[in-house]
Amino acid sequence: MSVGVAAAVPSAGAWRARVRRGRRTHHERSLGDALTDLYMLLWMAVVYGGALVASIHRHLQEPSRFLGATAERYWIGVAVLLAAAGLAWRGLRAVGPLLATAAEQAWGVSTPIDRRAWLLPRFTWIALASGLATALLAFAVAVLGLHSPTLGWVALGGGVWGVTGVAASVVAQGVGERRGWPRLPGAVLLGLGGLTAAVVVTSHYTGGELPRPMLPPGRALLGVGIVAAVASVVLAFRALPQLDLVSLGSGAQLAAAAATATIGMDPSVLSGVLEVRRWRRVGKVRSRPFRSIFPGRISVLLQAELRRQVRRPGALGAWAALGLVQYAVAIVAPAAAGVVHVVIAYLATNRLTGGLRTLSRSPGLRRALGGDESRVRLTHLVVPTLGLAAWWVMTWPAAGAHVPFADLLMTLCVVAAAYRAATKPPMSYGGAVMETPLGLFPIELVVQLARGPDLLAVAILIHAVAIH
Amino acid sequence: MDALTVRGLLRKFGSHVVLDHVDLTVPVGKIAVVLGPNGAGKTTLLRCVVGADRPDGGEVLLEGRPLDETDPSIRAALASALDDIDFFPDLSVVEHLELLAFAHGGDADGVAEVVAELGLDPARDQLPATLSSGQRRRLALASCFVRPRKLLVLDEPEQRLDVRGREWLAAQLLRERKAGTAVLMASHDPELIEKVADLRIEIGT
Repeated sequence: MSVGVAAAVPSAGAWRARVRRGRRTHHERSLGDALTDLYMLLWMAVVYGGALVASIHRHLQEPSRFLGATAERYWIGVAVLLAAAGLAWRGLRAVGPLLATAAEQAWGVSTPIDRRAWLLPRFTWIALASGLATALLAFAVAVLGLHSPTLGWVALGGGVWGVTGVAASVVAQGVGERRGWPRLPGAVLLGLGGLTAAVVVTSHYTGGELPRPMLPPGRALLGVGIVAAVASVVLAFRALPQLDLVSLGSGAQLAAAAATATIGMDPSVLSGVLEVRRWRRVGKVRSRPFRSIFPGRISVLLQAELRRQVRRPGALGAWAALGLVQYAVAIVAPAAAGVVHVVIAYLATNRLTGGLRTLSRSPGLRRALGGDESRVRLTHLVVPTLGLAAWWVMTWPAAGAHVPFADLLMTLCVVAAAYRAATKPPMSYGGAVMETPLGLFPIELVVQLARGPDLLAVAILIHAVAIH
Repeated sequence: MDALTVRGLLRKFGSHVVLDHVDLTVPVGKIAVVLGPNGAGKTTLLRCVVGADRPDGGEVLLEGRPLDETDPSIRAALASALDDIDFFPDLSVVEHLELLAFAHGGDADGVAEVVAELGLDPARDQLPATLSSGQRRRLALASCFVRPRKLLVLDEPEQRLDVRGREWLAAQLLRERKAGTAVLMASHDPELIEKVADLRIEIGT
């Protein structure tokens, strides 16, 4: 068996051109199709983004007895921006930001083709897209009144900071896990966001007064941003050849799962990948024997459930952080606090239903556990129920108007909603479709998606009836 | 001369140690088979060698140089077929192999021969979604033989191959040895190991 060997390895561009040629022979997608998709995306961004900005602007500016103090609302906005930046950094780090699909790794990235040339176009596009998105965000923030006199400068400043964020995350990707600093920006931004929200909440409930926040001048923001962007882009360019298969591949797996989850409207695909990663990081735990506190196996199942919760500190942290979110909402929009309280209670309870979700997704596990399946499932609902009760009491002062009997009914609805969501069977994409004047309506798909939120809607209805 | 040297390789998942300071060498033109029970870390060892996983300690050398996957000359010398290979859904079997030969600076001259030897001729124009698991395995193996190589790393290459495929695999590995390629592979097939192994490396025992 012999293989002809030529002298030169092709360029990344030549490899890509060859793949494109090969693919074109098997399916067709015209320029018109691509432009139509682009038009739809832009149309949705402009219409919905514009509506969102206009509605937030109206909300922030309008002095109303239904809303909290203006300065506090702006400070909560700052906390949200900081937390969003922290989450964006974590998101970028989780997917790469540069990645190569498993097929690209096997048939392209693992060959001697120059890696910088391979990755440079992707880096350029991601940096430009990020710059555009943050420029729009900064523009929106300026329009919302934080810095309206210098709209253009603020937008440009936002753009260069977006480019800086992506370039810095590429540098972090090159560093990998060897050093700890790549984790810092995300942790610091999230911590600052949480701290800001906590200060506002504390100040509000202790009768303190906060001054309205001021952003740094637009030109200064832009000047410092340009220096940071140039430095980080240069460092990222130098880091490109050092990005190894591990860093390019792990993000691809997550991105593929996220895409599948989005297209299939089934977040369990993504959460499954995240779970595996989380437990691989943990690796090993201290195994201890279970004690039979009272006859039967329920006490053992409960102990196992408690251990699982303790081993998921992130879920417990999110459960607690959602309490702070409720207090922040009560300050920003006190009139909506009651309804939002029900929704956030549902989200907090969902954080504690990991055991129930695992059990429901695995027929093998249920068979192995044996016995009455309903009892096993209900046993796994004990911890989420107690968690909801504690959360409800903890956030009671920020939940708006109360009617005790309605509160009891609402918590029961929230627990039932969390149970229904956690025991949702795998998505099925067949089923009945109804023809309506507006087009086809996939009844079964909507029923599946509504499993859980449907009972949440009942809880909101109970709240609405009770307070009127 | 040693083609591959692994010294003190350490890999942990959290506090769980999978590879505990593994040492091994594979001389040029020799076939080394990694042996061990399930969970011993055979696949993890191979992944660390090819750069698909990052070890927590130790070093991997190819002909005395650090085996750094980001170095194009290392990528030119190292061929591997692990279990994580994937395919472009819209490229045919033969297009995949020609693409890889092209990416290594070669041409399509040897591709037809590899396709024929691996029994992929009837499937040469098929898209990956239509291939059986055995055919996909053969395509993954074929990807190693349409390109130049000094070190070949295979993870249980006999998996999903029929009897004829296993016979071909043994013969091909012996040809690799004759051509001076160093081979590091994990296998659970005693017959294949008996036929081809020059070195047996036990881990996790």
